[in-house]
Amino acid sequence: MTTPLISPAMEDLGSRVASRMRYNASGASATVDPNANTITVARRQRGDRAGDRRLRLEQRVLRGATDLIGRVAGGWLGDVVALERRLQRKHRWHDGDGRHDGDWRRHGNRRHAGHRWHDGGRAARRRPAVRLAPAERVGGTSFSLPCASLSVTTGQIGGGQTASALTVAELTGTTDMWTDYVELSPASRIVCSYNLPAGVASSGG
Amino acid sequence: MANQFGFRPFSTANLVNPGYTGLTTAAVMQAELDVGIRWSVGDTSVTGYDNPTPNAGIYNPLQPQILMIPRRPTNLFYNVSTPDQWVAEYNDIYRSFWGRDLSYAEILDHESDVLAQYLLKGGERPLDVPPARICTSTARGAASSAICSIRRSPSTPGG
Repeated sequence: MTTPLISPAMEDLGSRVASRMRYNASGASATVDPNANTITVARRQRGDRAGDRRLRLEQRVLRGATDLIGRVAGGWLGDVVALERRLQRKHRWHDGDGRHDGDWRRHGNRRHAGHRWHDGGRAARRRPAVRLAPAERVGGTSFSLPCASLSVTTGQIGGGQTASALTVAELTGTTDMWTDYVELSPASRIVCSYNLPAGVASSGG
Repeated sequence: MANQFGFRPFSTANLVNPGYTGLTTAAVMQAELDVGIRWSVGDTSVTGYDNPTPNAGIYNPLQPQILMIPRRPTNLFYNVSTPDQWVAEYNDIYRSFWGRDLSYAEILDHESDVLAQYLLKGGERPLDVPPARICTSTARGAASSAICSIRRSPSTPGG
């Protein structure tokens, strides 16, 4: 069993806290309903500047989902932590030197806060991504949680983007393949239906 | 000093203000910013310094480039070095609360329960465990080592 204890240096802890605060301000949310086997992802209405900046939607959504799945199946939160770290490494938005935590790090003689979009800002800013296919270990068993079908209940997603984009986490580094993620327009809400692996019990969470 | 005592990792971007002082003093915060401090701590037991939302901190109003990370106080007091000292001070403070004196084992059991609850909540925040006194006493017995084993994982329950 991997216990969920970590002991990051204070600057790393600060980066995690700052990241959480950016996520809170982003307006993204996700809800997992294990009874309905669905994940609902929503993006807040445009207008809030922080919300428009779009940060880390994909990994945080995944974390929310796997957190609940872990609890549903009696899994251990440490796997979620490990998953998040994996996803952070895979995160496709980076600041100038390849780090994904761009807050208050030294770059020679200058410092800057926040993310710098890898394509100069414009395209990435309009492309918040959602991927829902982590390989997650619960109770010692690995399985993936693909989005079997996707419906848009409010707003819209990017043209040509489908649930299949959320089956495998293909994107790493600064790659940006339009069909490998799903972009939510402001004030949008999507619902992914998933199938629990055989032998994994679902219960209200 | 960090080198002398082997503190690793060490970064001058971090500061634990003694007694949480200076956080509301403009000159102090300006000085912190000037020397490169970017991460500080806030006392969750003080109004206005607790997490505004789970695992969120507070940017200092005087220097918004400095993030104050709420830190939980503990009952491992700063001025005790041995179990006997800890028991004496603990019971002095909490005798009326418990209605009796607690033994060292009872205190350890209760305090570890409190820390375990923090852990299970998935909180990302430091714990306020004064470093110097307790772990200088590790050679005095297993009991002290037990305290230190808690103290040496000070930063955060993962989450």
